[in-house]
Amino acid sequence: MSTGTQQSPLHTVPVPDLASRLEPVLDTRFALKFQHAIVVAAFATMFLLVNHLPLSAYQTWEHANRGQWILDHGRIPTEVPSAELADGMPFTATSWLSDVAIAFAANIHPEVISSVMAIATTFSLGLWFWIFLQASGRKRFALAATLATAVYWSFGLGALRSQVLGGLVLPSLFVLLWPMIQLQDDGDLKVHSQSGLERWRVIGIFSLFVLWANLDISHLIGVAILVGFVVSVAIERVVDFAGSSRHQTGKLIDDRDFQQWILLTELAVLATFLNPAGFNLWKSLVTFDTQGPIWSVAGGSYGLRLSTISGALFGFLLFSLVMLWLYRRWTVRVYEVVITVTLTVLTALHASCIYWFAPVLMFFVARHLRGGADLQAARELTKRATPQGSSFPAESQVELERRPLLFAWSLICLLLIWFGFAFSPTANPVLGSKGRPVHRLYEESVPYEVGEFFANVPKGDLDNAISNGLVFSPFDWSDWLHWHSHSDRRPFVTSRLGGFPASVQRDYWKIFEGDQGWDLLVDKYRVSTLVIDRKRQSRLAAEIMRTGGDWRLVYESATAMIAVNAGLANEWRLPTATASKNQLPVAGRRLR
Amino acid sequence: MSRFVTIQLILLPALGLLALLGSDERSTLPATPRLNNEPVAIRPTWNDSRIITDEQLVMVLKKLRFENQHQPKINHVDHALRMWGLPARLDERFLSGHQMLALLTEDGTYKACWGEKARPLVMLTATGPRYRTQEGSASSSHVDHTLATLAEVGLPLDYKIASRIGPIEMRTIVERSLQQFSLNQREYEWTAILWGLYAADANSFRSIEGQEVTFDRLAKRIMRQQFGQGVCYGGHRLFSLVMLRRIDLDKTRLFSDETRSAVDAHLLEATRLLVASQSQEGYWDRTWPGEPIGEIKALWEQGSRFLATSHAMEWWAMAPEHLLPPRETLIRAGQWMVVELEKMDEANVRKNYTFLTHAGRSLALWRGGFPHELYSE
Repeated sequence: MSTGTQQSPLHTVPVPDLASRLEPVLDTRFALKFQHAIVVAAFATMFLLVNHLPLSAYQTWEHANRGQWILDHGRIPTEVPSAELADGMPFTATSWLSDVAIAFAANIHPEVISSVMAIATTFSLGLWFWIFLQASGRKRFALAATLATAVYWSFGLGALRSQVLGGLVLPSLFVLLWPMIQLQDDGDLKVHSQSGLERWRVIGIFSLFVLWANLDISHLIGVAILVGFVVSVAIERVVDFAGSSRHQTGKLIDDRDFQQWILLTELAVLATFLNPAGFNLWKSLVTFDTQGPIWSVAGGSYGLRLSTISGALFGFLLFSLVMLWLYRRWTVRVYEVVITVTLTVLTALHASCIYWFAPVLMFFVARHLRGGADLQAARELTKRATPQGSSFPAESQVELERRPLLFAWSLICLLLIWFGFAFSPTANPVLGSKGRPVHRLYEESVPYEVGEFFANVPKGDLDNAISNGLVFSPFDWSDWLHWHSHSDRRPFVTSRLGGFPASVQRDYWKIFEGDQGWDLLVDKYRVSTLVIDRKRQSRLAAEIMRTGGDWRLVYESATAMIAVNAGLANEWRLPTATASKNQLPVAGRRLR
Repeated sequence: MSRFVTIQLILLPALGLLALLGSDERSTLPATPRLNNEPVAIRPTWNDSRIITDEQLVMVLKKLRFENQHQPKINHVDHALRMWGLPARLDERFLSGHQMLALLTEDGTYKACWGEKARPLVMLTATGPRYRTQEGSASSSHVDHTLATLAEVGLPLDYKIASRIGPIEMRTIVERSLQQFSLNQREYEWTAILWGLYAADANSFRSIEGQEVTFDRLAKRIMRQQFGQGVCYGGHRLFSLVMLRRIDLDKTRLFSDETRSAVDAHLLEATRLLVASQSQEGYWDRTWPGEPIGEIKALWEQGSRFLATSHAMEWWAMAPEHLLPPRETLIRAGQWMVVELEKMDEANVRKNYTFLTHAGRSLALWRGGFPHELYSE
């Protein structure tokens, strides 16, 4: 009798190995984790936020107008373009490449400006994230520091400045310098003297500085940082050599590390000469005036006030770093002190320098957080945990293979990236959706309707009357109006008010405020048109309404007024109220 | 020597060389332009007795002699010296050219007229010595008016002015004035003449505001405002422009071709407006550019007419031929001034002396000379 132990013939049929059939094509390094998804979500959100920010009237359009001038004339301007009252004032084109790029973007559509701003900002933050992660070895801190940097930067967002494009270069420089910075922290002279920076990195740094010197004057920050490292190495080596029988200077000159930093700095400085202004880019720095590039290192000339939010954040970051220095877990390096002092002074003088101050100080905080005692351990840990260069601790191959949905988080990351793109204004032309309405594309303070008015003035008496002199408008509106109206009308001043003679600046503010004698001043400068921001220039608005004289109101809305000097064009007369409706363009309450 | 040191020895001098070669000449502009010691002399080129006869001219000039008086207004002295010139030697009752010069350049003479306590005419400021301006009768009436007068009468820059603080070379005051010059200052007409007359060449200079000042920019500044705006219904702006144009034509090329054309076009337009607005009697008034312009305080109607007419006749007297109106316009204007001056009593002449000197000077210029050359007792 059968005991039932005989095997069924079915058992001889081999069972298909389903698991082996679903073996992933992608390498397991593409198997991302929850932490990666958090980072991707953070960056997608930052991209979305920046991309959705409305554009301001300020700064972007100054670059765009200058870029357009370069495109039209095929040369780099040697004076402030389209600003006859600044004729003869010293001017060095320090951002011609950014100007052209911004003009190019603005010519496609203002929305492209917003996209470029979002992409550049997100990419810069991405690079800083990598640097913070490398320095601290702590992903949470790296992400927090990146988000904090974004907060620091948020005060200047809304305008695509050359600084934003130049801002891509500084973290790139840190990335390229990373092996040398690491060696500095290790103090491993022996290793260093045998290695040196790879050639591709040196070429990369040279290329970065060539690009930087043409994009934005902030290449000075890069040079200052390199000089900071040189000073640091020099001081630290001299201290190391103290007591040595040989002369310290001789030993320093022979020091391989010192030589490398010196040569790298010289190379960077040489690279900055490769720009249309050549050596004069540097020379213009010593020509101390409000037009000089030294003032525009950060795109402005306004000191930082500690009572503002950015001032408070500045103080907080500086305080945190100093506390870390005082209660240090790791050696305070000379370069930290030199660079921190330099950036602190610059930021105190020019608030916009916080753009550089914040990430660099955050980097110093990062390296202190890691701490000296556990440096090596952390590095070892990082090395073990970061196959293929990833800074996130990785699971073992077995653990990975056991994961049921190996690429789930990778797919979620892709989805987050897609969401970031799809919900951004950048996707509108790609996905065929309508662009943002004007009131969301531009900040509320942008005088869009005024720009429309100028863009649509028909040829004739009014157009002649406007063209017969200068157009006075708030300086932060002037470049936007000039760009938007695509006209050759001549602005009284541009966004870069500091580039005008002191007398023009003084008279500008008197007219702006409607101070006594404003009417004589507009005659002195042959002002044909007054564009008045009713909110900020209520006194001038009241003066126009009260005195009238030759000034004819041709546009009026809740926010702005435009008055034209009829006295400048004898043939131009105030159209009658009936005629005005037919003769004058666009919105607002037109001629009375 | 190590490779590193060798590189440094090559690199650092190379950087220095690059700095020298890359020098931008605009950044090394001087703070003052190059000036000649002697001002250029620009002479009238027309002699037309239909505008004023010899007898009429003598009558006019006699009426405009400058009386020796207690506390003479500096504004009047300025105008009198400008009209009569340094070589003028008149009857004892009247000041000679050199006596007028002494009033403007010697503190002793100035104090003798205005008293020991009078503030000095040439005063020292933080930026250097300058003529006291727009501070009452004992001071100059307009920015650089006195300096331009001294330049027009041919005073060299090495002339020593006997100021209260000691002798000061005229050059020091002129250079200080140009160093402080701004293209946007309210009164610039006389500084323009001053620079033009002493300019050694057309080279530019860097103003105190950092702006490069060229004759082109100066001309553009003069032409910027509407006709009729500026001192004396815009007459001085046109005179300054004509003087620069004459220097450009006869002595030193000051303007670029583009500016030269623009200046000529501007002056031709002024001529067109003046011809169109001339009254039947031959005069102009404050409405000459076509629109009424700001009233000058306390100026009676006849004064307004003299002001507009005399300044127009004066700049035309120095203008090249292609910028002139038809001769009839000039004759009518000249004869109107002669007739009205003849009728004018002494008190009115004294009261309106400053702008009547423009009438006297312009009428002399239309006879081909300066008043001191054409006057005889």
